[in-house]
Amino acid sequence: MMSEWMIETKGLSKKFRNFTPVDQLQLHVREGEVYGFLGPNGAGKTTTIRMLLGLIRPSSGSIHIFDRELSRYRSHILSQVGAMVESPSYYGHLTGRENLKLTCTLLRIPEAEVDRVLDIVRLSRAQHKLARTYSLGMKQRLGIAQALLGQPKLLILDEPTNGLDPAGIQEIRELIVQMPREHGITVFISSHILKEIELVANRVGIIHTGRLLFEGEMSELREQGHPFIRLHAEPVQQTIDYLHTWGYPVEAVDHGMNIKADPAEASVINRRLIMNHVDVSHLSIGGRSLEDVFLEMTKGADSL
Amino acid sequence: MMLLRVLQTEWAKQRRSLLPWLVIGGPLIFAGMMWVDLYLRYSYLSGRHPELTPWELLMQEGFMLWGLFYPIGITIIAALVHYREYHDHGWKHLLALPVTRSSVYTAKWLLIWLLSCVTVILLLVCLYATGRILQFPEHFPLGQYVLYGINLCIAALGVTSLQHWLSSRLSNSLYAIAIGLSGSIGALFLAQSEITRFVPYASALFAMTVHNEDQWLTIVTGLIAGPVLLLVGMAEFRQRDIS
Ligand SMILES: Nc1ncnc2c1ncn2[C@@H]1O[C@H](COP(=O)(O)OP(=O)(O)OP(=O)(O)O)[C@@H](O)[C@H]1O
Ligand SMILES: [Mg+2]
Repeated sequence: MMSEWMIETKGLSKKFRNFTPVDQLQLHVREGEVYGFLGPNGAGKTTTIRMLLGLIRPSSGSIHIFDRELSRYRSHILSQVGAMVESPSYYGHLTGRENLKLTCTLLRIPEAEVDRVLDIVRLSRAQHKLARTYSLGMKQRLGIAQALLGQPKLLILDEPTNGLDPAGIQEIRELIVQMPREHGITVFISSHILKEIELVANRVGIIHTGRLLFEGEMSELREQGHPFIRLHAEPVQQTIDYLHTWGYPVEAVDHGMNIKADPAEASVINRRLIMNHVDVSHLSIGGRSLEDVFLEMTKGADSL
Repeated sequence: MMLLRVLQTEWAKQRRSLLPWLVIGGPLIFAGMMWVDLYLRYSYLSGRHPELTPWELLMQEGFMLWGLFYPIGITIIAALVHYREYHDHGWKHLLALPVTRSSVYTAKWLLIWLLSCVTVILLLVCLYATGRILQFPEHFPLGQYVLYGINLCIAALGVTSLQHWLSSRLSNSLYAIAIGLSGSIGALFLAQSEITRFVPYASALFAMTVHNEDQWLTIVTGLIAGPVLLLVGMAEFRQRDIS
């Protein structure tokens, strides 16, 4: 029986001598999605990723990738996983191309793969320069190229935009978004920046002090902020009736009304009201932003 | 075979580093020192050891110094091999690839040992050249020198296993070098005691083939310490958390 998860961990924990950076983690990553692994500094993201790659041993719990137990099928699983952990790894005294060729030899794949991945990360022109002379962004892209070698089914990237300028971040972001679509690659990406994850991920797991606080669709997370649309319009009763017939839950509050709907609907609502000759004098978005939800979640857990 | 593939990449990583220069330069410099020594003191030395041929005298004069240099050389080779991984954050990439940890550990061990053997071959060639330049009249005792070379390669086994593990364990290469250096110098003294002469760092001191009844020490220490320490080190390496 195939389970629906590409990565599934059960009670995954790592203990160091006196504390537990990863505590009873249950992760579920679906095939074909971009899964955002979000958490503030020191939350345990890198430690979790090291366990997913077999670099460190879990103290307890299990990891299944492609439906197989990682500790037993390590080589088989890793042959279909591309990864970049923390900072990119490269041998500075070799050229970008030579670095990639080393990995090709170890993966037993033809050298033509090098050209393919260089092209994807747009590093072809700098391929013959020594890696140590690369800019930070180029090194990061070389790291991603390494991860893409051999057409993996799963890409695990630990803060891939660390240290990049806005243009570089944008570029990496586009690269990641296209992975499932164009290459059929599932992506597991970690970050401590909500916005990063929000822009690329379908689903998120939020980790804080080693515990998973939330896992689910991006939209579910948004709903936790109880967003609403604040409206002032005349005549009031007629507006409320219209909104009810269009299926929006609405309640009257002093001077106006709150519509419980996705803030993205605001412009549609506005247009429809105006077409029905309602005078709209105020329209705004209320509730907590995603940022607030995230901050509150990770702050609340601190006091535990 | 996986091991050969890993070995191939290990060499590709080192090819353009300091390492080849060390392997070539070490024996050359050593032979140069021997040349100066014999050039200046040949008549004095041959007077003291009338029973030795000039070729034997050359080996006899050099073995002690080489017995010191050689383990230090292996120490530095091992440190350089691991320096690359630590300096360039290579471990977490390498060990997240579908290669087994034991093949990675063995490949690095093999690289260090093979390079030690290359040093030995170059040493023999350089010593031969030294004798030729000094115009030794006698025939070159090939067998005796080749046996010395084989003994040295066996002597390298123990030191290789030890320094390989130390260098893989200590992220700061200087610590591993410090230990290897102290061990190699300490071996000059440890070699003189019945009990401590079995330390791997001392085994090259017993490798000489001129009137030497202690060659078995090299063989025994190398063939036992080498594989045993390799396996122990590998067992630890396979369990280790890579961070
Ligand atoms: N080998 C180790 N020994 C002891 N503690 C460790 C070890 N490795 C990591 N830690 C601790 O585990 C905690 C989690 O670290 P981790 O690197 O997983 O966090 P992170 O979520 O990746 O943070 P960041 O966003 O800063 O990268 C930290 O407090 C760190 O100090
Ligand atoms: Mg991290």
